[in-house]
Amino acid sequence: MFPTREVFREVEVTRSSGAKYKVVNIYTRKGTNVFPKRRLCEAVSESGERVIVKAKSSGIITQVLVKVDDVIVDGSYIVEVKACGHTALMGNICCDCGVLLEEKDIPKDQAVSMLHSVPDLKIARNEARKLGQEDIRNLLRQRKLVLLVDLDQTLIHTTNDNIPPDLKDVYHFQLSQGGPWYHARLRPHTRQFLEKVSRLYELHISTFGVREYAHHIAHFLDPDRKLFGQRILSRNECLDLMSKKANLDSLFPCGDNLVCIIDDRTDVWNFAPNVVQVVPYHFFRHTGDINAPSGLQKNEDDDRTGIDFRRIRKEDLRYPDSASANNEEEEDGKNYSSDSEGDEKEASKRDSRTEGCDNNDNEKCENTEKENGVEPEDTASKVEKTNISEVKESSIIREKENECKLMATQSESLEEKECIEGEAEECKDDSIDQSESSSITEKENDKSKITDESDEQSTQSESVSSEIDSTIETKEEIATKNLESESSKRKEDSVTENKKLESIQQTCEKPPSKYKRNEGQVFDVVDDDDYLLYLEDILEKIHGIFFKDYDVMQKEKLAKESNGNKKELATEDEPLPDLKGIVPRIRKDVLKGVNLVFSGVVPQQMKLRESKAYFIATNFGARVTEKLKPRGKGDDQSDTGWYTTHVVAANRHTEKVNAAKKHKYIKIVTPTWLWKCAERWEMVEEKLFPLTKESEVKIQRLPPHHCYFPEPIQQPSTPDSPAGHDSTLDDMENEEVVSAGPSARTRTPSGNLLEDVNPLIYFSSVERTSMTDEVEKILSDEDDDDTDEDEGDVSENNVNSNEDDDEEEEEEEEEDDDDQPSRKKLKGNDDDDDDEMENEDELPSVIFRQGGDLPSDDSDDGGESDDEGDLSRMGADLESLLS
Amino acid sequence: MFYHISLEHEILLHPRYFGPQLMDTVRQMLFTEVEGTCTGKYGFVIAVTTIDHIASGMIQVGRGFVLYPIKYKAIVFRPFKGEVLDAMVTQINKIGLFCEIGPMQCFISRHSIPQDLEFDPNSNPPCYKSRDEAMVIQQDDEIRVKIVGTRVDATDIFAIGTLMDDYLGLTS
Repeated sequence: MFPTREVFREVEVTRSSGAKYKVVNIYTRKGTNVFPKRRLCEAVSESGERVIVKAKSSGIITQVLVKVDDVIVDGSYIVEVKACGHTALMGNICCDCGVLLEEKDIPKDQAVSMLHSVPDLKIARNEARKLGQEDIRNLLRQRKLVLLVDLDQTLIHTTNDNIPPDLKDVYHFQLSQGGPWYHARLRPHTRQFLEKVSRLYELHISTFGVREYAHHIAHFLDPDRKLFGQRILSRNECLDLMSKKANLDSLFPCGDNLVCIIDDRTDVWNFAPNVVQVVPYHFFRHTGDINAPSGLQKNEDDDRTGIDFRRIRKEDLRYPDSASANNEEEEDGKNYSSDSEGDEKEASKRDSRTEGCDNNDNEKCENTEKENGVEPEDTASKVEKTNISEVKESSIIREKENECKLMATQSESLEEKECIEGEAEECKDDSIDQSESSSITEKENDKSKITDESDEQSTQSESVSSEIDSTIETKEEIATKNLESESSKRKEDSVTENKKLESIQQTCEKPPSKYKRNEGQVFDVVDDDDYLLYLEDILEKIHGIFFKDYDVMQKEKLAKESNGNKKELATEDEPLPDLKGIVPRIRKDVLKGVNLVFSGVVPQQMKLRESKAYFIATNFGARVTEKLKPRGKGDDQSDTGWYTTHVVAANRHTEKVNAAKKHKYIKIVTPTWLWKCAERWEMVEEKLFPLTKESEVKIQRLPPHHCYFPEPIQQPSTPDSPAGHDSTLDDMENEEVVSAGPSARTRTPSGNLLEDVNPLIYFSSVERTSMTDEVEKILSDEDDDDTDEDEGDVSENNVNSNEDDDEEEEEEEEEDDDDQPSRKKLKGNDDDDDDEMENEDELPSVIFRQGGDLPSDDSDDGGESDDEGDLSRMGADLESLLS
Repeated sequence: MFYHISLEHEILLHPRYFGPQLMDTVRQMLFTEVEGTCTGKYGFVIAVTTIDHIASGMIQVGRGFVLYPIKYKAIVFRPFKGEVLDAMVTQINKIGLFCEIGPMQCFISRHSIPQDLEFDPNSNPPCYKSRDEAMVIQQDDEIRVKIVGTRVDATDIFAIGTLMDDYLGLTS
């Protein structure tokens, strides 16, 4: 018997012609299940016509109402069937009774697919609700919530580009035999993050990657299937290719009250209020989210942040003695990601600056490198240093491989295999046994000596690394030795074509031994991205507040029940706090009590309320006003009980900043402060973001993309949201000012007559000298490259791109270090330009995949903001000059 | 149910295989093309046992390919409604459990699992178990199921099973 819960009895009536029939044969008996068109019995009419009575519906026969020799007429009951409700369907087959349903019988509208992995399995909605209730009860019993976790750029960053094979925490895989290789880098702290969060949340993966991809990554993150189990939702199971929202209803048929989402983009969730937007993780430069839905790619900072392994490789070949500069740049890129003040522009600027710094000036660069290398332990940094050099070595090899493509393809596959093995080994044992590895290296050394005499450079570099392993040397020595080996390699390359080819072949054969040598050693990139730690705090807070609310509700419910003596179990509609309300509430608490005034942040032609900065500030609970509102002293303003606490300014010389300086309690911060608060959901220390002359240069007026989300549709009219309320007031008050347009920005009286008449008088002598210095510096820029102001950069780029056009064909590989130093510098400076030129040789699809701009696609948001930033910065510079 | 039956198949061979190894190639291609496939009528072809006859090949006009009609015997697996079979559990969830009967996928709804077995979402991996935990069905367990229905597609057969009968359930 099928325990079909809804027992709706249906009596089968078959045959309807009015004639009398005699039953001659019965084909069913009690307890068997019937399905449409199954024979029930056979009857013969008086005229001898034989008919076979067939069933019309499916179910189980509970009673046979006719016997042989009975006479049946139209309307007689033959059997009694307990029908199957077909609550679960797998395609067109009922999972309970195994009956194939016809197309018209399938209830389409009310079926939901509740399983992540088997979207074909559809459950009737009321049945699904029951299951959903059970889920919720189970979760609440464990005091857990549901967390949907995005993969790409949230927990990992994946690229298709060629990267060094021995990076730490990078997982290499192929989705199909012969398919492209994927390299997934784990965000720092991911494992700890998942471990901790899984105690508070039931984790689900929700990604736009294909199923195999999602499962590969899930296996990588969670080999024991403890964290995610089978709760993996991938593109294959997505109901809507552009949005993840559609699946939410079917996965959680009882509502998404318990569902919290972490994702690097909210648009795919229709800007749902329960999404916690995370700072996108960006490790590999030139690669965005490889699984972004088509048409929704965002690559505004793909080419600015992250580590560019591609570039390192090329630079290495061209400038063998700029190795340390490259190191520098690498670390720069990494430091950026968690740099407390790190805005993208700054990072990229710093990049270009380091590139631009004289390559001969190795010492200088090394010094900066020391500064950047933050590791306190000497040994650790040393190991890492050697690793860096090794990777560069390998990248050189790879570059050479690119030269001879045939060899490349072979050795590439070989390498890839090797690196997988290496991964596995590395997983087994992370700690490096120094003595063991050194002995291995020595063995390898011998081997390579025996096998190849002419393979000088490899032995040399290997001996260098073995020395590193066994003996203790200073960093500089290693660096120089490496440089030596590399430069010798270079020379050898440039001697003759024949010899070059030979060496290519050697290097192509080399990788296997090389990777064996690297056994257990991995190249750990300094990656200071620590956003997951903040995210953990945010999620913990959400969890805490939810269950606080839940407990209160439970108590109320208990009290009600005991008071009213109602014993009915209201479990069906148990009142639950809703994360869709709690998450925005927590967000609003972040900057509660902060009263902001923007200065020089919102473009003048834009209304304050339409600006992104305003959205962010109010979303996080700050009160934003047009005008500065000082603390009242007994006057009527004190009635309202609030005063401006922060001025978010992009320029030091605005009216508001000047006015704010007079009040000590008003903190003047850069916009970055606000963006950081929005990223971390906490009040960041204001002292880290002071508005100074230095910080003013690299100010980022527009919020980073991950900070920006539009206001939820519902109006913030709740009484506990002062921001919404006040802003309307402010708008009323200041409408004139806002609509006044550009003229409102003209130098407004700062209260001090003297300053208004001649601002120069107001500056101190030190300031004045510094200003003249600045002017002189800019003027002398034309013949001096070392100072890279923006204006200088722009002009250089223009000049150089022309040069590149001419030389592009021949300079690719043959370009050698005999070039003039100035030329090198130019090259270093306009590296992005260079990349673009190279991109033109590639297919557009490749560029696209790497997140680059397609030639025709100029309307990129990021680019725009960049331009705007540049322009406004230039404008600010100009303004300060003029004044 | 397993059958040993005679079947026919046609191999289309590219001209590059014409050579001394020709017939070996034809045989090999028969194995690769036929074994593991599924037809609605005969079910899954498990293994080719004998190749009875390879007729002379016909060269295709204008293409150069050669068509070899082959008669062979093979073991096939054809599931039927009401059949009792052993299966391996592959996935367990709140709606029921998935299992594999050889090459065939089979789903058992939770309504078809005896009432005394309850779904336990908190154990890892999730399982169906009785209150006293005397009986636990979890992933990779062997169970005996009765097939109540099959869905036959062009290239696959999917089955619905039940555990609600005597002697069904955990066998290991």
